Amino acid sequence: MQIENDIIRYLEAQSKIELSDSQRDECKNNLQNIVSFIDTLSELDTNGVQPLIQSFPIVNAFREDEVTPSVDRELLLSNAPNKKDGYFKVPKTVD
Amino acid sequence: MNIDFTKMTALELAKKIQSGEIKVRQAVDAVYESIDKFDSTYNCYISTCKEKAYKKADEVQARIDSGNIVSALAGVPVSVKDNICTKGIKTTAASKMLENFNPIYNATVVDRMENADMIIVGKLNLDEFAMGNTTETSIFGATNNPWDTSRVPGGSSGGSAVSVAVGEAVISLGSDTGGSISQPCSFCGVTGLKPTYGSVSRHGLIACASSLDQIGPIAKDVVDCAALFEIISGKDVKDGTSMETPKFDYSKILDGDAKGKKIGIPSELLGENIDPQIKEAIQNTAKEFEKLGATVEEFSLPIVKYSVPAYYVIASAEASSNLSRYDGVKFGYSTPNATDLQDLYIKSRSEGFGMEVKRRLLLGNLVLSKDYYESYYEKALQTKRLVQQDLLKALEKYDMLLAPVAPTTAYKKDEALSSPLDMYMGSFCTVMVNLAGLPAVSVPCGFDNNNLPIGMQLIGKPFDETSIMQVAHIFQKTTDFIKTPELIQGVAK
Repeated sequence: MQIENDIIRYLEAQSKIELSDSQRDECKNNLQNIVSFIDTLSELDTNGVQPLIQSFPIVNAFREDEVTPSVDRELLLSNAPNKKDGYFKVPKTVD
Repeated sequence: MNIDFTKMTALELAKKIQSGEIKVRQAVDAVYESIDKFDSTYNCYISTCKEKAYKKADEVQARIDSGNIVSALAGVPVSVKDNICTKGIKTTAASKMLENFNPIYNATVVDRMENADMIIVGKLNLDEFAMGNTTETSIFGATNNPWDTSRVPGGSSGGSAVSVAVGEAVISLGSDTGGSISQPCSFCGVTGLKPTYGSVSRHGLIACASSLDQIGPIAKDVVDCAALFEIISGKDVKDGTSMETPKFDYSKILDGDAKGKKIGIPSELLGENIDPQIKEAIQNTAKEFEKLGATVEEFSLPIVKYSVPAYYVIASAEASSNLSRYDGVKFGYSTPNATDLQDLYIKSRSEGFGMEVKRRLLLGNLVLSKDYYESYYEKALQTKRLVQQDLLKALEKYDMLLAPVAPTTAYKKDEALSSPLDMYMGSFCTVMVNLAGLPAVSVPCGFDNNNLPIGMQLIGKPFDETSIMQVAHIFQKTTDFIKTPELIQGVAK
């Protein structure tokens, strides 16, 4: 596939990232090389092969439905860049 | 007392501590003295935690004095890659995004090491979010190769490998997603274990690609790695992918035998793109195994060719999903210049992540997007199954596989970063191990003309770390490739 600027811009939006013009040019070239390389996978016959996500079979892990202490609220908020009254604080979202 | 960690293994130190010949505090002192002397040259550490370390050292000393030795490595200082959470000790993943992140809990492996009376002394450098194989993309600067400081140490666990090579650590923890333990060990001349997927808990490991990530030990020799693996391995309810396995016993690797073992070498990993000197070192290693009574033969594993593209599709896809948690709200870097909520997300991420991370996020979102999901992501997962099938089939015929760890020895700095695709090809010999979830031990097996270390790996059956480590141990006992580089003191980073 051909990597064009509009694809990069779409991926930036998907990734919630904004590149500078020079970064976008660099990324376009890099991704073009990488994608051409990844395209070699199309040579491989994978007809009927089940995708493998988890390396080894695992089953759902259940536990007894017992109440256990959860993490203290203040502690959880201790790494928050902005907080107020026990909440995460973000810019206004509704006018 | 003069304690030189370049001349002592972790288990040797443990014996001296446990017999009272060396005090725990002296061992911790020795680590920090070595860091003071050498870290300005090698830049292995992102941070140290002296206060906590000495407090723990005193607690452990009291237990040892009362005759209570809780593990084989009780009293031994250990250094930890900085993508593994340590409660109250900054854990940065070498990223501006987490520069001030202070975990409120320990990774399970850290709890297990503390329960085994090991002393956490500091946090080690890596490629940003463990994405890379050169340890150059850290916001704290590059780590330098101990054999030639103009070269990279490999990565992403570069800080972990170098710290052991130069005696700034006795033993360390790294993490491996596509060779991030094996390859730096090979570039630095130390030993490391990438465990079977599911044998070590990932709880508290800052996620890169969750289906491939494993934490593992890096040390001077195989026996040290085995002793630490015994401590950190085993099922953990906090990691749903960790598996119930028989308890690993490090002492079992001491009495193994190479006699009668069948070892296979994938001929594709001795092909054109492997440096001839590395090929020769692997062939010499094969001869050594034959002398020890093993049979070694080459076999063809054509799927290897597709493991690198499949790996980068899967690793990037998972990373793009995992790293969506960094939003500038709950923890991590937050831009001071946001106008609204979307702007907060975009600016925090754009300012907080470095270029290689951004590249992988874009690639990940590309292969997961509606139009390309089938042709890239699903295709890569199908390839992953074929890689695993073919490797497991080979491991029915052979007891273990022998291969180089990397196509070359350590590269010059900046060389790999100038071409991401070339850098990705540097993972040619290792990513298949992660795709298949298998264990591999990385062991020094020679030096090239530039006096740079060469590493070999033994790849084993799932959850059979014991067999590969037994054979690796015999190899280390009968050969002499564990060397110390000539150390350079106090050169500017």
